[in-house]
Order: sequence, then C-alpha cells, then structure tokens
Amino acid sequence: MDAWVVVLIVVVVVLFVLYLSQTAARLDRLHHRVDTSLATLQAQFMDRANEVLSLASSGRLDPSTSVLLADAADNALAQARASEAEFTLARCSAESALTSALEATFTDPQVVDELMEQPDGQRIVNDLTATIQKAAWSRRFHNDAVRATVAVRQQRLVRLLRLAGSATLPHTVELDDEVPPALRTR
Amino acid sequence: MKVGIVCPYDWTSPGGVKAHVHDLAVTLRRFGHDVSVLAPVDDPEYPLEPFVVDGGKPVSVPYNGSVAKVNFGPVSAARVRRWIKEGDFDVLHVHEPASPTLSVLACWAARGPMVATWHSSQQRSRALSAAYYLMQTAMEKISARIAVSEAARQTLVKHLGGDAVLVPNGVVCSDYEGATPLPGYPRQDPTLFFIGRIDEPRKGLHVLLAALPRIAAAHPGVEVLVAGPGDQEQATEDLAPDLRDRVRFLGLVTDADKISAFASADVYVAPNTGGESFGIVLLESMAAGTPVVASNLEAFASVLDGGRTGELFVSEDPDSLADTVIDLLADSQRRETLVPIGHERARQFDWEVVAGEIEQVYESVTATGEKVENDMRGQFVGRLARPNREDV
Repeated sequence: MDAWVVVLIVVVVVLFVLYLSQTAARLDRLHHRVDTSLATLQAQFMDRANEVLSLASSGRLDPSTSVLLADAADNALAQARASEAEFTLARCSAESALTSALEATFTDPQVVDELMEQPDGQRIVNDLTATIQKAAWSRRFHNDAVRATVAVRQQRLVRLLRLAGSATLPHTVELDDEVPPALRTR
Repeated sequence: MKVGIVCPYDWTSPGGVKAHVHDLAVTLRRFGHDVSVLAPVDDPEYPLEPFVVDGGKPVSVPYNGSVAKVNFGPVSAARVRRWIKEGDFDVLHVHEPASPTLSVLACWAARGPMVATWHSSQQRSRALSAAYYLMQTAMEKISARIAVSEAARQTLVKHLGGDAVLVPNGVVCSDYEGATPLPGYPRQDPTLFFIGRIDEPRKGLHVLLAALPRIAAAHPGVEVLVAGPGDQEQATEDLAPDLRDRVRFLGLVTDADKISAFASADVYVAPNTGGESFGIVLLESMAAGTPVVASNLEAFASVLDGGRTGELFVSEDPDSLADTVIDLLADSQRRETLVPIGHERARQFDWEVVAGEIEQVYESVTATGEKVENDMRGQFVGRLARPNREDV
C-alpha cells in the first residue's frame, strides 16, 4: 500500500516538473518572440522616418509640405536615437506626430496622383506605402507577442515560482500609425 | 527569400485554400523568391508542380461534424520536421493552423519567423477548446497573423485573443480578362450565371430559382446558367415546367469553362445565405467584366464596396433579388458603367498586389535574419513515440 502511495507521489511530482519545464520553455520562446518583434519594430519605424525624410528632401513635393514632413521625420529620428531600444512616451508622440503629418499630406488623392506622374514616381509611392504599412503591421505583431507573453506571466503558478526569471515584463507600444487615406490600396 | 508554405488540405482536389496557396506560391516565385509548398497528396497520379513537396496521403476521419481528410500522427510529424530541416527557410507560412492538419504540426515542430493565415470564419469545434493548451502553445510561436477577411479575423480574435492584419484573397485578373464565351454565347436574350454546389442551401440557388418566375415574366428570354455539382432534378422540382428549361446545368466545370461561363453571362448572381468569409467569386466575375448581383452578406458588401462596384439585395429574399436583377437587366447603361468599375475593383485584389502585401508581412518578421529551424524544446513526448526518427 505504502509503495503505491510513493509511486503516486513520484508520478505527480514528475508530471508537475514536466509541466513546469514546458511552461518555462514556453515563456522562454515568448520572451524571444517579444525581443525579436521589438527589434523589428525599431527598425521599421526608423525606416519609415528615413523614407519620409528622403522624400521630403527630394524636391518632389512643394516646399511647405516638404518642410512639414522633414520636421516630423527628423523629430521622430531624434527621439528614436535618444530613447535607444525603448519606445518612450516622447518617442511614441513623435511617431504619432509623423503619422499626422503624413495624413495631412496624403489625404487628397491628387497629391498622390501628381507624385505618381513624376519620373520613377510610381516606385516612390509604392515604397513609401510599403514602409508605412510595414511599420504599422510590425507594431501589431509586437503587441500581439506582448499580450501572449503577459497572459502567461500573469498565471499564478508562473508568478509564484518566478518561472519568468529576471526577464522584465514587456509592455505594448501604443501610438497612431494609420496608413494615410490616399495611400491605402483598397 | 526562402519561403516554406504549408497547405492543410489535399493538393490534388480543388478547394479555396489550395487555390490560394497555389496562386500565392506562383506569384512569389515570379517575384524571385524560392518557394516550397508542403501539402497532403491524395491522388498519387496528380502531376505535382516542381515546388510542391508530398506531405503524405491524408486520412478520412470524422471531424467537426463532417468527414475531413487530414494528416496527423508521428509519420506526418516526421515528414514535417524533415521538410523544415531540409528547406532551411527564412520564413514559414502556415494556412488555417487551428485545425488538425499539417499546418498545426508545422507550428508545433518549428521555431523562428512564422506567419499564419486564417481563412475560414466557421465556428470552431469543442475539440479545440479541449486541446487548448497544446494549440495555444503552437499558436504562440506564430510571429504574424493574417486573416483573409473581417469575418475570419473576428473568429480568430474570439477564439485565440490577440489581433491579426487583414490581407484579402487574391484573384489572377489576367486569367479572366478577355475570356472567350461558351459556344453559342452571348445570346440575344439575357443570361444569368450561378456557380456553387446546387444542393448546398448556403450557396442559395433556391433563392435565385424562387425569384425566377418574376424575372422570367419581366425578361421572357432569360436563361440561368448553373455550374456546380449536385442533384439537378431535385433543384428544379419546385419550378413550373415551362421555367425548368430556362435553367441550364453545366455540372462540375473546369477552370477554363468557369472563366468562359463568366464571359457568357450578362449578370453574375451570388445568392449565398451565409458561411462566406470572402467573395473571391465576385472578384472573378468583375475581372471577367460581368456585373455582379449579390446578397448583402458582410463579406460580399465589403468586396462590392457597399454597392458601389456591384448590386446588393437583401439576403434570402427572392423578391429583393428579383427586383435587383430585373432593374439591372433593363438598365444597360448601369451594366456598362459597372464593367470598368468592376475591373478596377478586381485589380485591387490582383495576386500581384496581394502577394506584395504578404511579402511585406514576411519582411516584418524576418528583419532580424533568424532562420526557421526545428524546435526541440517541449517535443520529447512526440519524439519518444518515434525512436527511429528521420530528422537526425
């Protein structure tokens, strides 16, 4: 009888340890996903600001639009450099401001039509749209990764046994990154 | 970029997801990517395209209230692992991952940049909730989620939480533009076209046939071309005998005949009553230059841009359908204006555009340059079950 109790305890302990190791592996994977998506997010928003800056300095748009866009893009880049790997509040505001500047520029379809008519214009419009779209998508993908990670980390057992180790709790990045109306595909 | 795509359903029989994967693979290859598709192969005689890898013969099992042909078990899992190992992919793209298929096996077996596309908007079975922990662990590895429609996106959000980006289905416009009509078409009198299983109520042929008496009264020469499998006599048994020969059944048609049938009709009618998460067939019709009349399902209204690029009627209402068709057949000017509008709409969903967006999703997950590899963690249960595994 006693032997059976011992066997039962051993089985339960083994299953429990198995579960813990699976959960630790799962968390490890999730943290890695968050690191990757954050690195991508950094790169895509830098790309977006650089793309806008080069369009603004290309002379393809009128001077006032160019200055408006260059200023917003420059500010976003400065905030990106200042905040390094973090999406600080200041950086998020600067990126949202860049989005507003883009929206102010590319709400009138005529602006896009005129850009398209210039030599190589189609490629430039396509590249700009793709960069803006990719930045917006990478933020969704990052926030998705964060939500999945936080959900696991909030489980009682995970918190109690500190299965996440020393990894910091990730947080979602909230800013406005809508593709401007005149650049949307459909 | 080296792209590995997993098709969950049999490659050798026609289907929406299979067609999507095929067109995506072909377009990405044209863009210059190195694409490999892993798919179940039921018919060993089927001439596989050079980019398709045989994922094994699917087995028919009861699942989710019907019989599904799926691949599962250790042999399939080993094939998936070997394909991942040999493919050395930059990105892995699985389709319909929340089903017991090669797709979920691939999610389970791999790590690295992974993209998944949700196609269906159907309610999920209880089985998924039961296997929730296992599924969740596999789903969590997906770095980017795509839904082909708002309905599919909502299914995903409801069942898994989180979010997905919307990249719609594509259509190969060039296949439809300038198509040759069937012999004897276009006729003097108006022709309507319907495609879909004729005995599947959700395809709505009965709604169209219920509207036929009124349409035939207003346009006496009208003919309804019906393409799709099913019992033809049963479908028309409620019709008056003189109306029965207004309906011409084509049976199950080839892709080429389908395209010709679009070009033969004056109006394409989509009377579906539900279960549609997208409206690829509406885009095909518009690409062929045939104006569309469709039920006002959310998916259809979205493809028809709320009625701008085609006519909508109240779903399951034969009178509303009859009114809409009668008016459109009488108004040749409206039909003519719908042709270029439809063309332009279909062009927005051309595979060139859609695959470009999917390419952008790939770029959004591969920026760090990691590769797809076999995930050894948390897999030892499956690996113990198959000691002579093929991938080491």
